[in-house]
Amino acid sequence: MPIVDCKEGGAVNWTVQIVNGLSFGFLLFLLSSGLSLSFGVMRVLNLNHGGLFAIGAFVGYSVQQAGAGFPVACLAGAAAAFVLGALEQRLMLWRIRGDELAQSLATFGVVLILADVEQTIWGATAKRVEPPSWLGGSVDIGGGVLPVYRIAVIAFGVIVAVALFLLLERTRLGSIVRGGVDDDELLRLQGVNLRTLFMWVFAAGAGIAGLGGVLGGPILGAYVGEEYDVLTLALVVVVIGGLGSIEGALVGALFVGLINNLGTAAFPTLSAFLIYVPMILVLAIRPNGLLARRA
Amino acid sequence: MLKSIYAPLGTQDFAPFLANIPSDADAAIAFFGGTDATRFTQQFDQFGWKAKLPLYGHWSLTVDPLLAQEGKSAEGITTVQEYTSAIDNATNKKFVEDWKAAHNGTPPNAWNSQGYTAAMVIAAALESTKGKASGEELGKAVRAVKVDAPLGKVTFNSNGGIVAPIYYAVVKASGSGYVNAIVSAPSGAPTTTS
Repeated sequence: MPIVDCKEGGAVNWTVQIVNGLSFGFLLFLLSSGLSLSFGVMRVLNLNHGGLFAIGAFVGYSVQQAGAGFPVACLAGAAAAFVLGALEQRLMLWRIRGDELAQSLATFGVVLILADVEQTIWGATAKRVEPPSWLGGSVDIGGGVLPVYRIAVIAFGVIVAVALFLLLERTRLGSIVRGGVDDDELLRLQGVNLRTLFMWVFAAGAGIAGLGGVLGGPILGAYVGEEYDVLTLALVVVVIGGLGSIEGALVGALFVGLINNLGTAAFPTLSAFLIYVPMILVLAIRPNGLLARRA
Repeated sequence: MLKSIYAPLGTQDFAPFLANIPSDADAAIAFFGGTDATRFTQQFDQFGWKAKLPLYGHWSLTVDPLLAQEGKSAEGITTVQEYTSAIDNATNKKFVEDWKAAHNGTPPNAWNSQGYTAAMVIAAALESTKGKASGEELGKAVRAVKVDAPLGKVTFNSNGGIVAPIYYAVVKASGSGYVNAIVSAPSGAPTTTS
C-alpha cells in the first residue's frame, strides 16, 4: 500500500489547539512552579521534583480507587508530596546545603528509590485517574472536540497562579520568601529561622507538584517513569522562564505548552524537538531565562 | 492510506497529533504500546475521534493487562492478538484457571503465555530426546515439536521460526471489565512466522 504523506495540516482546528496548549501549559506551571521556587529560595535544583509529581498522581489514584471524590484525591496527593518534600528537605538537603553536586546526586537518588517503591506498590501498568464526573464530557468548539477537563485545568492553573502570586507579593510570609531569593544572609541577620523557612517553602513547592500530579492524572495517568518524563519538561520550563520566579515559571510553562501543541499540530514529525529549540535559543540569548529574578 | 503521523515514544498529549487525522479518513490504525497505548486510546475517545472513526491496532494497543485502565475508551477497538485469555481451547482454559488460582485472580497475559509456551516446547523437546540436552540434539528436537499451547497449535518451520495462530479480536465489555473477544478463530490459516 503506498504511503502518501499529506503536507498540509489536514483539518486542524486551531481554536481547539490553542485552548489545549494553554491547558497543557497550566499543567506545566503546576509542575514547575515549586521547582522554580525552591531553587530561587534555597538554590536547590531538586531532581526529585518529578518524583513528587508522580507520587501525587499515584496517591490520588489510590484514594480515588478507595471511593473518595476527586477533590479529596487532589488533597491527598498534595499532602503526600508535601510530607515527602518536608522529609527530603529536613533529613537530607538541609545537611548538604550549599553543595550543589551532592544535592543533585542525592535528589536523583531519591527519585530512583521512589520509582522502584512505586513499581512495587502500584505495579508497572499505567493507572488511570478519573476526572470528576461533572468535568467528564467533551465540548464542541467550532466543529472541533475538546474534553471539558482540559478547560478545567486552565481554571485550576489560574487559581493556583493567582494564589501563589498574592501569597508572594502581598503577604509578610511572601516578602520573607522573596527576601530569601534575593539575599538569604540578610534574612538571617533579621532573625528569620532559615531551617524552618526552607522546609516550609520546599514542602509547599512539593505539595503544589503533588497537586499537579493528581490534576494531571486524567491526562497523563499515573505510571512508573512519569517522574523522569515530567522532570525533563519542568527543567525545560524553568530554563526558558528563568529559575526562581513564579512569573518565570508561568511564562515558561505557557510558552512551552503552546509551542508544543501548536508546533506539533503544524509539524507532527518535528514534535520530539519542538520544545528544545526555544530552550537553546533562550540559553544562547538570555542564559538566565526570560524572567530570572537573580542574575 | 491517506496519511501517516508519527508521535514520539512517551508522548504525553496526543491532541495535536489527533488534530492531523484527515477529515475524510474512513478508519485509523494505531501502533502504540504500554503507557502510550493507554493514553492514546483515552485521548482518541476524549477528543471525539472514537465516535467518528473505527480504530484498528497492533496487538499492543489493547493487550489484556492494559484493558482495565483503558476501560470504556478501548471498547470496539479491533486488533490482531497473539494471545488473549479469551482464547477458546482446552489448554488455555486450564492455563487461565491455574494462573488465576496462583495469582489472586489475575488472568494471564501474552508474556505469561509466551513463557509458558516456551517451557512447553522445551519440555516436549527434552521428552523426545529422552532427556539428552546437548545443543545439537535439542535444537533438532525443538524444530520437530508440535504442542497445543494456550495460544493454539505451535510448530516450527524449516528456518526455526515459530508458526502459531494469530487472532482477530474486538474489545468488548464482559462482566465488570473488558476483554479482547475473538472475532475470527484460526482454521489452520492465518498463521504468522517470526
